[in-house]
Amino acid sequence: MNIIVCIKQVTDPDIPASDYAVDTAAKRINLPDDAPLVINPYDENALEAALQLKDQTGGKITVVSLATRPAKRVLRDLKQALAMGADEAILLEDPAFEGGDSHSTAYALAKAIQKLGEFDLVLCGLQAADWDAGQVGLGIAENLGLPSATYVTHIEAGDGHVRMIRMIENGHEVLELPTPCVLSIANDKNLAPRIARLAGIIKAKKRELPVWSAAALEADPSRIGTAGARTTLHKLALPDITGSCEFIKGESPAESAALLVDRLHTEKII
Amino acid sequence: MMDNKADPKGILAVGEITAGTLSPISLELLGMGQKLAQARGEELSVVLIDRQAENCAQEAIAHGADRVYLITDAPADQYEGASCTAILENLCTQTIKPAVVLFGQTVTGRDLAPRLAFRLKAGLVTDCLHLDIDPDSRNLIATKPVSGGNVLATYSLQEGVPQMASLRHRAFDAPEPDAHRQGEVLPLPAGVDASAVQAKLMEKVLEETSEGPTLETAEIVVSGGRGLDDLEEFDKYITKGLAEVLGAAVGATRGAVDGGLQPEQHQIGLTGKIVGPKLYIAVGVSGAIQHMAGCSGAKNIVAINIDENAQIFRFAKFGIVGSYKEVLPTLIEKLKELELS
Ligand SMILES: Cc1cc2nc3c(=O)[nH]c(=O)nc-3n(C[C@H](O)[C@H](O)[C@H](O)COP(=O)(O)OP(=O)(O)OC[C@H]3O[C@@H](n4cnc5c(N)ncnc54)[C@H](O)[C@@H]3O)c2cc1C
Repeated sequence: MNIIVCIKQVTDPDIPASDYAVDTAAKRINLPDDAPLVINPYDENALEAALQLKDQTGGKITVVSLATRPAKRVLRDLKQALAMGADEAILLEDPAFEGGDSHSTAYALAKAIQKLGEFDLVLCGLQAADWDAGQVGLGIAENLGLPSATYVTHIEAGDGHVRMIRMIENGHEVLELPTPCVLSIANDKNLAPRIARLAGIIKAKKRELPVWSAAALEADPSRIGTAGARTTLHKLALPDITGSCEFIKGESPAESAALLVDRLHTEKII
Repeated sequence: MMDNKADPKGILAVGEITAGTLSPISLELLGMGQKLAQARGEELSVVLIDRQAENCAQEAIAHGADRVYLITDAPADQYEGASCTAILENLCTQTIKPAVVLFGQTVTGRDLAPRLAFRLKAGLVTDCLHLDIDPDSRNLIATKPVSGGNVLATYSLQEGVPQMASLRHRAFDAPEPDAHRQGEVLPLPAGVDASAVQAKLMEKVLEETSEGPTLETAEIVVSGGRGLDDLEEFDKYITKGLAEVLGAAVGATRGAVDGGLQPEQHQIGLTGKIVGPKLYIAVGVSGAIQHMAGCSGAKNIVAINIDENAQIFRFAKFGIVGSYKEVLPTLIEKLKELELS
């Protein structure tokens, strides 16, 4: 199988809420300089799903990332993907990509995928931890005119098709889609990303990775970056989390538990 | 001809039917849709794509719909992304030209709304908490949580194409039904045939319905996180422990799901279910903002966590700092006693 995986770099979603600040005038989210950057967690699940398919059926994995920050940092993620077992990695970088939304991003990624040529599957994460839109996978499919599915947690390769598990509210579906197709991957206990081996890390470090500009993609300038966006950000604000927790402290954990039950009972919560 | 030049007009809500009635999020959508329709001085339509759509038409009108489109002959028996997109594309470009299209942020809405938005080259803001109409431009203004919920972002959307948004469950109260409301019911042909279906449904597996209430309707939800050691512990302390004695539904964090402690369908949060019980008890849950997105509508949150600095305590009304292994046995025992008294 020939698989393309789209990954995005995001600020570690596990940093505490108190690290967030917004610059309302510049409409920018400000984070501490040392806030760690990671591969978007759902994209790691997508990469792992691709690696498992490659383990089973062989083939090739190409990882693509559209840089939304200095390319050097994003290259680190692409190399991490190579170290985990991907075969090729391509960075899309151009100032013209800036200020985009899901429409611009899906278009640029679709152009890159077209340029790559033959493939059986495109995998994306369900949603990215920064803007939480959850649209790009489906957008790539629409741009390429390909079938797609979301909330996929397991994929089996078939002949001219793939079979998959798709989570629904009260269970799951088993679906078959013809290939090529685009799947958005959700989290599952079997999709925890593998750890890169040292040999892989060393090998990946030495690789020179191709960087494609908007021109290299032959992208229509009116469909990338701000020009291609269909939504405009107007305002950013911090939500108010006004918690005031009453800590129940007994002499022992057991006594705390007993006091909690009393408290919940007198408050008529139970 | 005239029609094609006409300005987009009216609000269209895409409703969902579960177990023969409008799903709760669809009722909320009708409430929000009616508010937006009034602000634009226009009507609210709802489209129902379902074999049983007819049975829900009056319910939709009672909750705020001025017009109900019924599509009962879709080529797939249940939701299928490609064919539903084709049906809605026809509806939005040929039958009516809505100015605003609304979805619920459900498993179906997450799949369908982006497909339609890209098909129509329309802007879409997903998972919104607030929707408004700008009084000057009459355009949709949509506010959604970003960065997991650490920040709120407000967007405007491109004009000339439908302005689309999906609404988070429980962000807006469902309106009280008014049985006397009048509305129009219009059956429509799907206008697409079996060739529009792309995904072949091989099997549908519904989770075994446990004895307890569902997450959706439960008065009490007990959730476990990665703080629980393993599956046995989760089962013993949460599912067969605290949840059972309280008659509560069982929830989980992504951490717990990834660790195999619970199936994904129990995940609460940004990409899981949104619950709004009277009491939410979080055990071994750190309180990541993405998790809290699914339970901050709970009336009372109780947290049990070994780390006194855990973020969950910022959201909790009552908290105990301690290990679940030491706190829960007594908690369960005392609750049993209370039950008997
Ligand atoms: C785009 C995106 C979407 C996401 N969607 C969701 C979602 O829908 N739902 C969701 O839950 N998460 C979601 N997440 C993940 C989220 O960011 C957190 O990683 C996750 O919620 C953490 O789960 P946890 O609290 O179980 O684990 P942890 O953060 O590891 O917390 C475990 C807690 O257990 C406590 N603990 C340890 N031992 C004990 C003990 N013996 N007794 C008591 N307490 C103990 C620890 O102090 C800690 O606070 C999403 C992330 C992203 C990026």
